[in-house]
Amino acid sequence: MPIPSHAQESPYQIEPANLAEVQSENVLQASPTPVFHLVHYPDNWEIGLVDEGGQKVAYWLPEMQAVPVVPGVNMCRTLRKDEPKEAAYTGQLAWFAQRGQIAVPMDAIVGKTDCYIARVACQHPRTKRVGKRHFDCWSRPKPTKVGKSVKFWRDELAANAWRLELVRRGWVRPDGTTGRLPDADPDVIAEKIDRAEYHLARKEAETGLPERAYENEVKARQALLEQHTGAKVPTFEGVTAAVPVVDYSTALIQALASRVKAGEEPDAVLATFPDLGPAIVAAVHAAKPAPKPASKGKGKGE
Amino acid sequence: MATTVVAPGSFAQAQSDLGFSYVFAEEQIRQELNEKVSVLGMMPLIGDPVGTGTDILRITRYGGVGFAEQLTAMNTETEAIVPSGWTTAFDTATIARYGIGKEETYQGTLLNRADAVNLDLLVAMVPASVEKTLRVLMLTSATSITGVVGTSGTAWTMDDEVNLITNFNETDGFEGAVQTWRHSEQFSDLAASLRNEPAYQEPGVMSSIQGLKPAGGAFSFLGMENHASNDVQASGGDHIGAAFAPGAIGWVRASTLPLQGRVRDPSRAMFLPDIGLVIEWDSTANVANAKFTANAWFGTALLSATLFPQYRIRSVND
Repeated sequence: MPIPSHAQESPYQIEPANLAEVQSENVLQASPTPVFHLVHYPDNWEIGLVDEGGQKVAYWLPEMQAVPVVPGVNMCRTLRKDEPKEAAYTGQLAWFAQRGQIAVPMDAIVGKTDCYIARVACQHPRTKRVGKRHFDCWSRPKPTKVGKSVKFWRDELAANAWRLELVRRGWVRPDGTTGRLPDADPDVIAEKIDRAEYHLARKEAETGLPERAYENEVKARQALLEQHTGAKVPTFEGVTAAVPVVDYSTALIQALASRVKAGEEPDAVLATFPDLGPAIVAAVHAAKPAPKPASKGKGKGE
Repeated sequence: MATTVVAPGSFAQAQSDLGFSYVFAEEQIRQELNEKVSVLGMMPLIGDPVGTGTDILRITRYGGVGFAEQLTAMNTETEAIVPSGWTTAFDTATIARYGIGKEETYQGTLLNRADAVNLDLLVAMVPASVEKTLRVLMLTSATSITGVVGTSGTAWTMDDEVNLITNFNETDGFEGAVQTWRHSEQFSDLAASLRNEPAYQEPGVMSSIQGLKPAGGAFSFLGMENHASNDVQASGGDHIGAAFAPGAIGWVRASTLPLQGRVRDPSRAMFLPDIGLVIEWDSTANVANAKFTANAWFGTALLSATLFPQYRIRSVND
């Protein structure tokens, strides 16, 4: 797991999110937070610096939003009895897909990173509620004072390298399924360059500023525009040809099939998730237990 | 054991036998500082699934007609008009179960002073906890907004504010109202950026922007209704605020009135069906313990940007 290159060692024990128990008694004084998906929308790209042989090179990288898995929010729900954990958020994944967003699975292997979520034991300083605080694996929480927001040391270069690898190679899950993000739309990049040009022009027109402030403001926006126009646009180079964009069918089928096996009618279960593909619909119907054969009563007088 | 008081009698000699280590100030017990912003009046109630047979609500919409569609010029007097179609779509919302409880021993109830933190005081705080939860859920919903303004790892600036306004202004059909929810540090960053903007360097304006403000430092600016909350979510070292037309995030709740015939002690249970809450009392005699437990059913949902323009406000958390 990447370790921040510039930061002091965090006083808290950090672990990947898939470890069973936390050993340290030193806990972060903050409220627990849920796990999350990193989600990308195809129009959202931003400049990020990536370390290449000691040089920081600017790339257009996909903007990733961390969307927490919280019951009741955006189609995450409270689990029903005996449902697997994944059922809590399979509805949210389908909702993302409907909106054109692409969620990178929590167990996606991208380069050398096999889980982008880390967690630390925490305790709310006032309510004393204990739990785990989840954050991305390139961050480390700093000691937090009561009443203040949690701050993090963050290895931006490592996070940017992960995003670059995500675009170039996509991801593989432990079950073998793969996925990738679409390449950047040139029109989206052009629009962002236009905005940078506009802001430079706006600052150059503000002659009312003191001379030194004017120079600094204009230089900063010139540097930003140069970065925008000079940044490289990565493309998919993965050796796996023609991979599907996202495939959650396995987890979704398991979650829906468990409800059918528990006695719900397949049509009622499928009504919960509209617009599913025919393969998933067929698998859910196939999960319905076969009716028990009627027992043969003893014949009378035969 | 007796204490010998040596002349002159002093407070120091008398206190240990005859005095107090401390007394309580003659005032009501105070509550510590915390954010008191309520979002109940700012989110529309989308619906209630009670009695429907499902926990999912569908919010439907249509488009491609009316102001969105113009008539076709026909080439000839008799050219046939080909009927055109329209679009329909939907958003979905669901509820989840939430809970909170507090307990106290019988001995604590018997011996505590009247002006102490007891179950009666705590149960009155539960509706405020519901409002806090809804605030967190609303801001969590906002993390799914697809449009974004601002860049990871950089402070919010006037340039970003202009980009945000431009995005709304250039949206087809935008009706002119925007609500923003940002972390107090995002407002601090905006105020810092405005120090270099000539238009805002007049003393009165500068004082208004840079001066003390309640409720997280939100200030009116460029026509947006700004709110601050430190429950704004974080992502990858950034704060994720949101700007949206009112109504973009709604809430659903399950009225708890049907539970009146189900709870153990209906005479003592408290029902707040408008916020999907029921509070019940219970006790365990063999361990001399009393408690209350609150159950609530609600959720929030982000509606489509085709109905309500919306953007995330992303800037560094440092």
